[in-house]
Amino acid sequence: MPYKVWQSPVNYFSNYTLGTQYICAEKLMFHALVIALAQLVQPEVFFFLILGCLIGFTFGIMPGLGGVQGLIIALPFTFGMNSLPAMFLYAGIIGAVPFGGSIPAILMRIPGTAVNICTTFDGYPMTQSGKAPQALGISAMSSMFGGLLSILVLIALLPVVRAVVLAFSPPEFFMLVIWGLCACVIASKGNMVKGLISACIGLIFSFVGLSNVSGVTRYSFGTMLLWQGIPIVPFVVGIFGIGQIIKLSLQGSTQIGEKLVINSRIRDVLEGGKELFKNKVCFVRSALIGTLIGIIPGVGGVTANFVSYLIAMQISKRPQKFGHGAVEGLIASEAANNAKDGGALLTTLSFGIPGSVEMAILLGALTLHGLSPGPLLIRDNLDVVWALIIGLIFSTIFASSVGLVLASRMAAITRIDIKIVIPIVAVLCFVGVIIATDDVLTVFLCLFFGIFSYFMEKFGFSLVTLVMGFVLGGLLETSFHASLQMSFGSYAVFFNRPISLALFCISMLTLSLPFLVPLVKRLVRRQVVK
Amino acid sequence: MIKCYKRGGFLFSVLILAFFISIGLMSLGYDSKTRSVPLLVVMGGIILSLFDLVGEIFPRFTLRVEQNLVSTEGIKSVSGTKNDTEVKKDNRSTLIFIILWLVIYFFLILLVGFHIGTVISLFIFFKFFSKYGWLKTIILTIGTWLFLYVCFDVLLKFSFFQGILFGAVVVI
Repeated sequence: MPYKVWQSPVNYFSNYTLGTQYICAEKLMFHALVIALAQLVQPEVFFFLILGCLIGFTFGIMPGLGGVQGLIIALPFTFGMNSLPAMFLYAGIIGAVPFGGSIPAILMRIPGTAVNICTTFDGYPMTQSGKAPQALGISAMSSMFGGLLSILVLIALLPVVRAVVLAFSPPEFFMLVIWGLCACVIASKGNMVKGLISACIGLIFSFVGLSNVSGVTRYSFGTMLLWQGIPIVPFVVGIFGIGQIIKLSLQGSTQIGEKLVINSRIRDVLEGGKELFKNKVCFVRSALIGTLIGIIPGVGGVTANFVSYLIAMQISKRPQKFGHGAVEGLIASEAANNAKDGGALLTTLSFGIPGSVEMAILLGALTLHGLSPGPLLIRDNLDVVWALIIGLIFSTIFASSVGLVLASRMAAITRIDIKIVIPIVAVLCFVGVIIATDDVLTVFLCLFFGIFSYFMEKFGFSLVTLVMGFVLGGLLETSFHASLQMSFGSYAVFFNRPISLALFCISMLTLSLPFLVPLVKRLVRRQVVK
Repeated sequence: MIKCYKRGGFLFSVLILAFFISIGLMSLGYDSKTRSVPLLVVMGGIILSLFDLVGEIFPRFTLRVEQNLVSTEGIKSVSGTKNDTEVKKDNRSTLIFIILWLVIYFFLILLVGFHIGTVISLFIFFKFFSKYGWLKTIILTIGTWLFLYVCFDVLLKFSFFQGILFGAVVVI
């Protein structure tokens, strides 16, 4: 198997035949949907989808591990598989993780994944007051309908975005990358300078190897290992797989969860589910917030979770109930963390710009199957896009319904000794890297990035911006040079096109948000005092 | 005044700065088209790293660029006590063990191949890190290896690296 190196969609700009794409767009969409649905009927493909859901559910429940690690582990198993069944497997994992993570968050006050942090605030107090089945019911229904609503938005926007993407040219892509990086830096908590440094380091790593622009090999130290560049799989597996293993091994405790017995009656669970319909406005608002935040490149579920919870708390008529088992809090948290996947999938598939860390791994998985996310994917591989959408719909429903029945039993997963999990995950990370690159030496790269990411995180540098920089580096460089070629070397090309200029303004506005928000707050406070 | 910085963070920031400078120097050796974008990024990286270094020495300076758009102030009041899963204070010996184990595992794969390397390193981990008894260690080691062998060698027909000692060749 040849090296699978991340390729930017800009490589294919020259192949655009814009007019013909519009003519039969709807017909193509429907045709691709039928192909994807026909795949699902096959027992083998259906099995992979169910397997994906179970992997996602299990990784969601296990604190310290999440969708990212689930996807990393699944990578090697898709070796030799056709792209469509593999996409169903990945979609199964992505869709099942958030609800899986909510189970220990509600039952034990341990968020299974980072996107379930806000679920603990109101989910656990409900468990303490004997309303665990209701809380699980609310969580399941919010997760399921939140996910479905975001997928509906995705399906509705896909034809529009498809046209927009095809209208994008290199200057717009360049500015889109700049905005993606700015949004990512702003979304990562803490020191903005460190966030920007992380993005720069990620960009530098993406420049290693054969240049797409000049054909010259850069920063390879004369080795064959780096000659073609750093493959995306060892990079992301190192950062989120090996880095997490190091963190888990330092965690100390061997068993995270405690033994738990919950007698959940179906009537109680359904009663919880009904709460969603009593709080329709809160649910729709939270799901839309999740979808919108998912669309913003690199921002991810944690931000969606917190923003949605905070807004629900501020708008609620009973804010004092938040933190003491407020139904609205639970709905806001769970609807948003599931809804972010639909939004994130939109930017990932249409622009090749990952909407979240999971999507960055998905980009690696797509390249493993010889697919290039971005304009080419929605032009040539619509069946893959539909496979991911259908897989996501199915896994959202499956995880919420089946997971609900098995919730208290599945919570036992948190009692697995972490010292058994660590080496097995490490071995599977290495296997994934070896299979993805067919080169044993890339394990060294994975190891290097794993150790490097541990120290980066320890000293306050953002890993998400590092990965975003790496993933977007190729697109940034090729679109920069292609833009200059278009304009015969004039930099004005970035500013005299309306979309490009608008994206530039949005980028600047995004970067200035940390300074503007306190300023606005101060002004508002002064007005109130006056 | 200079003692207020954290040594680890300061050293890491120096390393990052050195990384950017060395990449910048390497870039100068390439033609203008090849180096233009990397040089722009490096220049930005150097300026930001200098800011970061100043921030490490004078922590008050960093407060100006600390940002948290999603203010969790309101949430702190409802989140209650500290999170159970929060990573405890770093244990240096554990850190050294885990990094050493990963490095040894990599070299074992290179030397004796994936299968033997995996069995040896899993055994080392379960016996010396997890501190399990002999029986549990052997069962877990063999069980994991068997799972990998059946999945990848038998079902997926993927042949793993055989190891330099067994005649495999590595091109660096």
